[in-house]
Amino acid sequence: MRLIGQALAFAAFFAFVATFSAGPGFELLAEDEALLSLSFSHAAARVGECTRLSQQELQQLPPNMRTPDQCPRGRHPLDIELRIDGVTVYAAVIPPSGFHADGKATVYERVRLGAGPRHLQLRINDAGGAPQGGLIASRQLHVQPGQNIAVFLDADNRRIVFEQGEP
Amino acid sequence: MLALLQNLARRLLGPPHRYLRWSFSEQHNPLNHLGSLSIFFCWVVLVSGIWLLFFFRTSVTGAFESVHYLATEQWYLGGMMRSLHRYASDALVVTLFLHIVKEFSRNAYRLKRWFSWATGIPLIWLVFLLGVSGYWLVWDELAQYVAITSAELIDRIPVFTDKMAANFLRPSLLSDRFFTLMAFLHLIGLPIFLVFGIWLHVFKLSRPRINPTRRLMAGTLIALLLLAATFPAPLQEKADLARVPQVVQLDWFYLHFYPLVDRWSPGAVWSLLLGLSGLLFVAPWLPPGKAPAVAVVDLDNCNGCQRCAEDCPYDAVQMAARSDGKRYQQEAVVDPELCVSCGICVGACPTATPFRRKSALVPGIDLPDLSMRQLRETIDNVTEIPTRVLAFACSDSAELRWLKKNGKPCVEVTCAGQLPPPFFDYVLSKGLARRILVSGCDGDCRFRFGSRWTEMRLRRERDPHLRRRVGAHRITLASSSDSTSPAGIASLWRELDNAIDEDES
Ligand code: HEM
Ligand code: SF4
Ligand code: SF4
Repeated sequence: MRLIGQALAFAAFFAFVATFSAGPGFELLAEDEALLSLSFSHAAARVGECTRLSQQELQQLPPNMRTPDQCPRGRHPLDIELRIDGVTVYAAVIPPSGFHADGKATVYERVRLGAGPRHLQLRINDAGGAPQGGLIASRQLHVQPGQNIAVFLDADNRRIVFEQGEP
Repeated sequence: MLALLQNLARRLLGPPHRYLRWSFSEQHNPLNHLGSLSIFFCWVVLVSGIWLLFFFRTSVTGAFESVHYLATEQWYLGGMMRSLHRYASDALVVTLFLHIVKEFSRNAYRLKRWFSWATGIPLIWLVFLLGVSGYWLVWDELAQYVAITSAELIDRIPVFTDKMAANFLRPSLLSDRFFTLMAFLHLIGLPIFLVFGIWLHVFKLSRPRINPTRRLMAGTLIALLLLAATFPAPLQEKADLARVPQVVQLDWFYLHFYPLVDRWSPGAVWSLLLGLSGLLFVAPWLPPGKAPAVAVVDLDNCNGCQRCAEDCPYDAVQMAARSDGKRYQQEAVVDPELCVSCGICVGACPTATPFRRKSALVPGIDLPDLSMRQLRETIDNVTEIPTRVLAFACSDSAELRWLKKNGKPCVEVTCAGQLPPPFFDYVLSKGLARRILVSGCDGDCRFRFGSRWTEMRLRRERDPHLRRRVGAHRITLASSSDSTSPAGIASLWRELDNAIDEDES
């Protein structure tokens, strides 16, 4: 009798363990949704041009800092906007990292989007709004449910990439 | 507020405790072995983990394949080991949770007992880190979700500037070094900390119970094996960074807070986790309280026999060289930082005997708040004396509340273990009562050893022995303090009362 009681206790305990060990499922996406992952790091343009110091100006600096070219270290923030079918789903001005604001700016955003034909547009400006910092790209995609669409800036080639995973 | 919460915790544990006491007996009751069961599950996890380690490959492509091989082709051994590894770690979370609730419910974490509690909190973090890193290693769809969500959490820590999560969003960015890192953490780093952490957790306790009883271990292992054989731990599809699984089957024991990262934000989840840990950390002093007076040694009566040091559950008595010139070699010294005023040392002291003249009734070690002399005065003054049944009840016991409510003759003590056997001898041989009920906590005393030592002393297995002439059958140890129903104690009382008539006929 008591042995049966023990067996029941073990059964109840481990049934509980097994039940929640793998499930119930957590829904990451609805049936007809995909995910767009906007993620990259990019060092935006420097805030200003380098200036060359005169001999006199150099003499006034402490000896360990006498470099003839004085470059402002700071960088512009990254201005970014993502539109899906003409609607802005993400817009941000991301400051550069680092104590001297001279590091890379990092974008990380994941957006759900419905499956079907979608028009994506990404606009980036990395030079404080100046025309030479502007980049824009759009793409017409046929989005499949469960896809991960990576969108990022290929900084070496200064181009925006839309990478559509296999369905 | 605190009392309310503790009462709630007791009520929750009460019914399962009674059921398990009936089926397992108090000695093998799993709820009395929550800490040691947690260690037992760690052992199962370790042994099964070593088997998995032999086959595991730490690379993007190798990881899933090696686990898949174990789960399918080597199902009879590797698959079993994997399931044991999984289910034992899940069971560990459950026993760990109950362990915390139980220690909370019986006040074993407050004030001077903060150390075990505080060193327990990093153990929670370690166990969860182990769980999360383990799920990461498998590199199935669940692992992919765990990797991205964990990385989002890590990215919230201001120290890191690069986004770690970015590495899991494009197949081309994924590299083997994450597997090497996770494998190092999961297989070497975290386990070492866990072992050290558990050692620290119990190291101040005297005789920590590291293993559950053999029968309980055997039963648990058989149940685990049966579960592993009937429901092998599932393995999800191989991870594919180009896709996002629509639904992931979570292990809710380890990953219950992961959905919140998505629903709220990584920052909010950090606040929650750190807030809860902080709350746990300060809990021993919430609200601050004053600890009762610690045990005091009276050198004139101490003969250096060491019994108090042997019996103290908190290692609060040390034996030191004699300081008063008496011919004994040693004397007892109480460490006030460790002493929790349970009185168990008094019950162990051979000089604590009420047969001595009242004026001389000062034992070698005593509790100032409830001294032997006070206790004897209380007995002498119990109005109903001589009585049929006299109860000694631990101040924390459910029985005490019932006894008081129903006007039964009873004497309150800090712990059943505070009573030296000569006390029972005194009550019975002076005819103050015909039967004695001692109510403490059977299997899992709130002061750890009170009931165990009392039982052994009455059975003459531990010093000081109950004298033979007393008749141990006249002394009954009642059941656990936190789980006895009023109906149970009422019927026990009637039983004892009837037994007196049987004694006489
Ligand atoms: C892996 C995790 C853990 C293991 C293996 C473990 C194990 C143990 C063991 C073996 C004991 C000694 C029991 C005895 O001999 O009486 C103990 C006591 C204790 N544990 Fe844990 N424990 C764990 C986590 C925790 C946590 C998270 C907390 C609370 C936050 C906690 C609080 C306590 C307390 C308060 C005591 C009792 C000390 C006393 O009686 O004064 N433990 N634990
Ligand atoms: S049990 Fe009593 S006599 Fe023995 S060492 Fe402790 S205080 Fe001294
Ligand atoms: S009262 Fe309890 S904790 Fe203090 S010395 Fe005695 S046995 Fe140890």
